[in-house]
Amino acid sequence: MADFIHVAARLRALQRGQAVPIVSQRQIVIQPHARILTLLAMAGEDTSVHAAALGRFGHPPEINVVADPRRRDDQYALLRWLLPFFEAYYAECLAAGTFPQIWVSSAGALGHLDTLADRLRFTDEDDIKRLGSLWTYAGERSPIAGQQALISATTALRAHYATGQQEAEDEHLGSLLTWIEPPAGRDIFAAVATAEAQPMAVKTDPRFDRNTLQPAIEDYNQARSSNASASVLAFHHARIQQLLEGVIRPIYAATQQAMSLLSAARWHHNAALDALADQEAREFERFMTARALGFHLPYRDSPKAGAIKIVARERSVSNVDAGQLRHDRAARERGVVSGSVLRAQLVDIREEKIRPRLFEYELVLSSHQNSLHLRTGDELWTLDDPKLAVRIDEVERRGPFTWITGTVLHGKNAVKRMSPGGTLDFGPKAPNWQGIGNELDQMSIRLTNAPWTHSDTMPPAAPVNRPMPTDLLAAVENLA
Amino acid sequence: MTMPFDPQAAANAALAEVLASQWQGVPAVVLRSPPGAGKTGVAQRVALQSASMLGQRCMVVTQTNEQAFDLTRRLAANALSMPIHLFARRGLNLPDDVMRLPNLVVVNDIANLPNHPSITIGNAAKWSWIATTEPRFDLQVVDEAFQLPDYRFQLISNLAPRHVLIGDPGQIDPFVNCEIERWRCDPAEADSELAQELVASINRLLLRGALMSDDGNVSQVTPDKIGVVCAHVSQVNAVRERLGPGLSDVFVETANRFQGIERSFMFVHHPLSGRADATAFHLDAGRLCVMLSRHRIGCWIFGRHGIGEQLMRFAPVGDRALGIDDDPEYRGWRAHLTLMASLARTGRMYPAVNGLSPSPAAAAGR
Repeated sequence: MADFIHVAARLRALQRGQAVPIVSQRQIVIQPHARILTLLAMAGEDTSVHAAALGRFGHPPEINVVADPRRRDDQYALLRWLLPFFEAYYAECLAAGTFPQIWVSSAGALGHLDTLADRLRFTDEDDIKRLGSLWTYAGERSPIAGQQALISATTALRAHYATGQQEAEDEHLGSLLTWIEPPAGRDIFAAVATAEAQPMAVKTDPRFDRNTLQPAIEDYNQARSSNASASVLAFHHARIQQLLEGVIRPIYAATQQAMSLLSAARWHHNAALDALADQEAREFERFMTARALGFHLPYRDSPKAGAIKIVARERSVSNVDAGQLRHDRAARERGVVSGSVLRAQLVDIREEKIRPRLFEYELVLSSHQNSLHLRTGDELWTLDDPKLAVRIDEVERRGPFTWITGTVLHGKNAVKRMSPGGTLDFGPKAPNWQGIGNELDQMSIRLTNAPWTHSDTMPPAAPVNRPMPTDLLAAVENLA
Repeated sequence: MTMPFDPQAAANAALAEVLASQWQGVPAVVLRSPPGAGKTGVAQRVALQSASMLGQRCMVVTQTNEQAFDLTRRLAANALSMPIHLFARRGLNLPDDVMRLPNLVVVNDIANLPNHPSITIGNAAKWSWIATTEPRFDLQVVDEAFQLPDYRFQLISNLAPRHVLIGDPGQIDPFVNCEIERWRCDPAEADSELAQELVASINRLLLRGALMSDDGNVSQVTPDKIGVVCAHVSQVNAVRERLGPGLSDVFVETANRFQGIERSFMFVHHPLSGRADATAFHLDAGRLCVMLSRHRIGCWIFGRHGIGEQLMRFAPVGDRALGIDDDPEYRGWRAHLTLMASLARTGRMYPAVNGLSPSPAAAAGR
């Protein structure tokens, strides 16, 4: 569900007939060498690639179309055409100590690529498998919070803008771009309706399929079956190519337009992204090293691998949130509104001498936020300097204010230099991306011996070698 | 005359069964219990029995510190004044009344965990980071077990060889703070109760010692005249492992592998039984046709109640392949509907002898 700020932004966009920015800082890393990949699938063949367009930001695409992707050899030929591009790109990024970034048009296109990667990894052809493995890096990273490897243009734009239409409608890239840059002098809804007529994901329009594409493919297949000459086959292939280029080029161009919008100077630097870029580079290196060592990517995770991946995802979510709260102004204000950030005035600092040279400090804070997420025992950290950690001892609502007392756990020296009256923002502990690796290593050790509960064999019952009391229930009740 | 239901007697019977299972050395017990039925009391008693009567090291797992404190209070009041160990992180603020418990022993690290018969309570997070790869306890009791996601249970499961998991599956699902769709798996296709019902019915057929006439040849009904057909290999295995040596001649296979084979009597595991969905695979008319056409004399179809409702709720996805108008999913759906309607109309639907619970769809009352 959209938060309050987002709802207000959407209403503003609806009022203005134009999308409104909802952040002032860039929300994603845009690699200068990012690749744009646009794929079209044949209707009813969800994991096919009928056409592919590949290129870099600011460059026209290289396009390849297969007449009928249901012919395996032809389909593999298209995929083989794609492989060297990705092989070279990944090698270039590995050598530079950075990470590859692939842009697709929408969440649907992202899902298609992810599914394709899984399927291709398990074909019989080594080069096709290799392409699947390379794409699997992007696919596996895509659901991880903070990842920068596989970017959906609609998702990236929606992190920066709010439109006046429903969120699901924003998934049409053409519609979303129209809201962001509406044509002058035209009703926004009429303009969006026009934009929506152009496919922007991986599927072609069913009417186009039935009336135009399907007859062209039938003609091609008939020509093949009747052993038509090479020139006849080329003619039919060219016809299909022209039809699909008419669909794929606008999608590629729209993705470029999204990147252009997000590269604009209006978006200020976001320090939270630096840690995410570093993390992405580490993940990429780890992935490529594992491939080089011959570790294969299983279709299904073992229980141990699944558990480790889930914990990695959870930690990523909390790290991304913690980073955003520190560096992203919009995220910070959303946190204040939602209550996940405590914005409080420092009312009092109480010093208690425990023993010589050891003092304990208690902070007394007051906040006028309405919905704070606070419990006694919670540990909060300041989101700005000075770095303090406070354990909440007491939370009490008095009239319009919430009074909080907490014991300083870290940053006592800073507290000594503080005086009441200032405003502090508190939230979760700072992100620790390196810590995730240590934690997962510990998990891996913990799971060295797989428990029988997560294996295929159940141990036999082992009866106790003692006589059971006749009235067991009474005997146990006497213990309680 | 039906006796009135006695909830206390039922609870006592369930508790006695759980307690007795520990004497039998059962590797795992799962106790599903609604709110207010006394789950934590069961955990308390199982732990006390384990440490005091069975001489075991018992670890108790809670989901939160508050639950650990609560269980500590209960266990500390034991009649033997047995020490109760609380495994908690250093620096954790314990409630005053817990701190004052005379038989409380607070343990912060693995080196101080008891090696003698004892009870140690800790929350799942604390247990999961324990630095050992070997079991340290004889029994693991998990309170509010349905609040523990499987991947977190995996982290603590090897700390003991036997488990008692107590919880309420009808309350709030565990919260996982990330997207986990990748690991969502299909509901288990093997229905052990249905397999048991099927095998019991085969036994009943054979017990009658009946004679059969097949193409004019009269003979006794024997196991080799019987076949069982299922949609999934897991269902086939579930039936096979229940047949026993006396029924080893009963032919059990999937529909795919039963093609071209016949038996005088067929027992069919309905492809939609127990499912909350109706996919193209399970609706496939061809598969249904194979399953219903292997018998020569008699065919029985076994399934959970609710298949009819499940079919009525079905909504086809509508995916069409380029240029193909045929819709096998829709055809299969109509075939299944026709079958169920025909069986109902001719009065050939009967309740299971051993009494199976309804499918999820029927249980949800939709």
